[in-house]
Amino acid sequence: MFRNKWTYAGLIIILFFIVTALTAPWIAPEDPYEINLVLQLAPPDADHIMGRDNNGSDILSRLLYGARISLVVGLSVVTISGIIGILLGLVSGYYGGWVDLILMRIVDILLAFPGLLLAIALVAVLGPSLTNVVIALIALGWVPFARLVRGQVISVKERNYILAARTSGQSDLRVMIIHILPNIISVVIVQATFNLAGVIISESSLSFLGLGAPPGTPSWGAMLSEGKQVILDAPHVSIFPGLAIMLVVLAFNFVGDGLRDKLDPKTDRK
Amino acid sequence: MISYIIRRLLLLVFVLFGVVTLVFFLIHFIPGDPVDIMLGDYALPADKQELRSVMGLDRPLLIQYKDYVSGVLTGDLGTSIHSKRTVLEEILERLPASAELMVGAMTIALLIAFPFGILAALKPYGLLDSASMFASFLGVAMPNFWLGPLLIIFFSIKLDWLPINERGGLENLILPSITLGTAMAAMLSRMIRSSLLEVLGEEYIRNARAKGLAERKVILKHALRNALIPVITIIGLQIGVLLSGAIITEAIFDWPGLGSLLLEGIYNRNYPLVQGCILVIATIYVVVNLITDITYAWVDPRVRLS
Amino acid sequence: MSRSKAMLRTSIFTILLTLLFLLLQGAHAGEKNLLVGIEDPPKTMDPRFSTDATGMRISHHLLFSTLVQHGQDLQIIPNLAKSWKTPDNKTYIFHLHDQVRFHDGRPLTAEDVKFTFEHLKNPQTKSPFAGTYKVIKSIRVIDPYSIEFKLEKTVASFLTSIIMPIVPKHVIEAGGPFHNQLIGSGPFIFDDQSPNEIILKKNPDYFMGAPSLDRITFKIIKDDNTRFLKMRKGELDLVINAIPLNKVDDFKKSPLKKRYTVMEDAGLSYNYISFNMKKPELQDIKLRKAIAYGINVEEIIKYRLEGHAVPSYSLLSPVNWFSEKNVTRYDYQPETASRLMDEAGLPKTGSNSKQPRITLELKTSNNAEVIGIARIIQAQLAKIGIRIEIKSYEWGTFYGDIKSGNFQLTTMRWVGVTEPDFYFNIFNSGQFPPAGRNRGLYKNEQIDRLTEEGRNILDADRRKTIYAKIQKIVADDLPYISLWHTSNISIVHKRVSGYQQHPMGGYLSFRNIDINP
Repeated sequence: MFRNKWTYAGLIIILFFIVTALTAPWIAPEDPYEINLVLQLAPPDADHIMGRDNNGSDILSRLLYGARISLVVGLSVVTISGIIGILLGLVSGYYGGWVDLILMRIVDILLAFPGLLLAIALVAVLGPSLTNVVIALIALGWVPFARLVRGQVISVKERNYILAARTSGQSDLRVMIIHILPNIISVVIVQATFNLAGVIISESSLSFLGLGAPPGTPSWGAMLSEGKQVILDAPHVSIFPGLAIMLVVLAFNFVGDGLRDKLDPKTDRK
Repeated sequence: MISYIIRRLLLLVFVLFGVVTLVFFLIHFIPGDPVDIMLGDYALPADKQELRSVMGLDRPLLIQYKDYVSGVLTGDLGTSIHSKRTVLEEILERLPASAELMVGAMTIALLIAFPFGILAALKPYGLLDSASMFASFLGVAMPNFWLGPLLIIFFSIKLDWLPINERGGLENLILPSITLGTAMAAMLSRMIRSSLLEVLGEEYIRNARAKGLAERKVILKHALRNALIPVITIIGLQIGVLLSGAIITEAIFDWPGLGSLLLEGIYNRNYPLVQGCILVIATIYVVVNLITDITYAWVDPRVRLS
Repeated sequence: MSRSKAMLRTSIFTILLTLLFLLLQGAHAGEKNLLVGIEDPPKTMDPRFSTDATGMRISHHLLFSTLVQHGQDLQIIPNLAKSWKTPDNKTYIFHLHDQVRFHDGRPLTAEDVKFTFEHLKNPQTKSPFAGTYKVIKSIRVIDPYSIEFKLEKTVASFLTSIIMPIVPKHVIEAGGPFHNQLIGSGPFIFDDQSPNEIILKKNPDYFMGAPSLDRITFKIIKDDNTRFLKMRKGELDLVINAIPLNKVDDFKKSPLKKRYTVMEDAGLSYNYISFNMKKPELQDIKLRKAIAYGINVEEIIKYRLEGHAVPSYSLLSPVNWFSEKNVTRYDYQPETASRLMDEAGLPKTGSNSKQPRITLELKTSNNAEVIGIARIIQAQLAKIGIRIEIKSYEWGTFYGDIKSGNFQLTTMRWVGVTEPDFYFNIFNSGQFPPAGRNRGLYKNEQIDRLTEEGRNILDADRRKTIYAKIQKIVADDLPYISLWHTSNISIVHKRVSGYQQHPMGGYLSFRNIDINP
């Protein structure tokens, strides 16, 4: 089905990641919030294959729970910003004119703005919680979708069957949803897959800067930031969450690439 | 062409104006007060209030905005709240470090991306392609706040080959450049691969091959040159991203660039400094963008000037 | 003939070149340059505006001179002022050293002293210290080396509050930017500054004698681990309170032990938990006591501070002469805490001991260390049925909330408090936010009266009695829970001699430092 074997590897990793996130409470060996200072920074051994962190919590258990955070944040950011981006892109590309001009200038402005800064500022205003991290990431997340969809809409809207649908008296909304969207959705899905990877990195970057999930939450980025303090004495505290992020991001990239090959060989060049 | 450039310039001004407005209100709406953060707990609240009013920070926001914009229009980016130096002075002091890191990262990215991209395109879906794909996605996937410290531990501490993070000579530039450059290397090598693949499918390449030209010559002389156009666009776009996107890399390596200046500014609510940094970063971004687009239009007449 | 001439010429040339080379080499090789690692760059070193610790240390102790100073035991010692007297409670007369010169060669006289304080008081200067000196009614130059201050009212802490660098009248009146000239009269002269470094050079004409060091280079290294690694590699000579606590003991062990000295003394910094006394749920003293008994400070010190702190029982560290040892202590007693919770009307609900009896919010900054400690406190209090929700904010936001009293519980610290009059600022009910720093909105009439009394008396022994009372009442009333005092820790390379650790972590002793090859 896919020409590249990495795609299958990616799919397997993602599947594993999703299952882990869903079953974390049952498969985690310990309570990830449990603090046991006597055991702090215990190195990996047979019973605790990833060792323990500064608080003596089992790193494996925290990683498993952390998968839920990455998954929830990733999916909600990409879904919502995808929907916003699709809507704005459709409207912008379909109607053109002033709407298009204004929307695209907003896009230009946001693209010229350092993304991390916007997220930092929003989290600072809204306060630290996972919901606010999601909001902050959506604030910029919709931009690439809107741009992509707009471009696609412009390229298909002059096609005959679309013109036919428009002249046959169907409402604009109907034309956009029924006729245009199915034509461009595959490109959007490819973009979404890559975006998921990006969002997971962004969430951990924010947590790494201490602006993400609330303290104690086993977010992978937060775990890395805790690990950085003791990286000289106990590198295992940082190595495992880093590997987890890497693996999942890698997997989403593989799958995105495979999907692109399959669904949309043309946009490859953009 | 001229009218295209003029239109783009007008647009550029509009975008920058939007950026200035956005950053102004955003930074002012973040809770926290620059005078409080600057003076901390040991100054008297009455003194703080005094200072706020002397610095004009207690005036209505819209008036401050108006003053700021008219300042920017006359080339005055304001004075840093903390150091009393001009914002421009502070930014210019940091720009060389940022540029240095950007060039370093770009060099690393190109050094990795070209061989990987070309090798991958030679035999698509073959072993080399697979390996290069794995390697490039690995670059994207490694968060730089993880890669950076690991590189330091390995190369600066365990092996003791490179200095511990500090700006200095060429050897100091290696690790931060790798940290910042890998993600871009990955992106570029995928770009080069697909761009090359497309060009290799074109008729004139097939003709060249049919004429019996050596494969290496076909690739290097004919295909690569044409495949480069979209790649150059991306490189242009990335310059802006590298300048501002280095916030985390700069933090890890104690690199005194624009990103760390910006981050300090945000933490201290040093409004004029943050506004100035963002304006400079955004300006660099849109100008480089514009230059890329114009060059692109120049080189490739197929690009519609719309 | 011509051949030997050529040879001669060559050898002379060679000798000259070698000499020149040696000369150039010598300029650097023999130089005594002290490399000091610091965490953050000073926000400014202009003493008129500097309020951050590093900026103040550099300007107060190295670049400029002050009338008086805090000595090793925190007593007031002479500096520019040889001696002083107080004819009455509101008058201070200082006699200055007469051989003091600014770095540009001009003499420092009483006129400069008068100018400094009047300049700071002037709103045009925009100095954050303007309010501090409002209490000065008039300044009179008696003669070039004698000066008289008259105050509006008695201020017990006046000598502490005039620890302020004397700036050159002639330079500042001439206008132009002062922040990059920094002409003072201290033992070192401002030389150069870049984002990563601050360089000072020696003042050979320093009035207390030229320092032995030729140069001090402050290396700004933000990352804790990097600072440690550079120290370990021998790239730094001295780091004060800026080595990660889990790394300090490395310097006490071989092989580093041979090359470094670790100086560790009780410090002044005071870590505490503050209650918002206006919140109804926190008004019950029994609940506050339960929390105090439920926190295991020893455990935190052992596992998070690696033993480099002592439990604290009062804002004033044991180093301070005013510190009162005989106050109520709340050592870890979970059973007592649990009993107090019952008495406060918060009994265990049912058999499920995991069910929280009350939920409270602890607001902190997003500093990783602070959050780490908050999580331990959270786990400790969970054992007595108190559920703590930690809300951590980026510093600017957090500080904005705290200083306006917008919190339930918070954990913070006071650094470098020497003057017991500070109790007035944090516990007098006239000091509620936003104007004051009584952020927990604590109100106790006895404390109001005593803190007012303490600031109007100059007699040290009588003051000591008053502040002893205050410390006892506060310990019983618990507007703050005292946690610990962190130690002052300096790591010094063995080639450095003459450094003396100051309780306030300052640079006063740098003028006595020498570097032995």
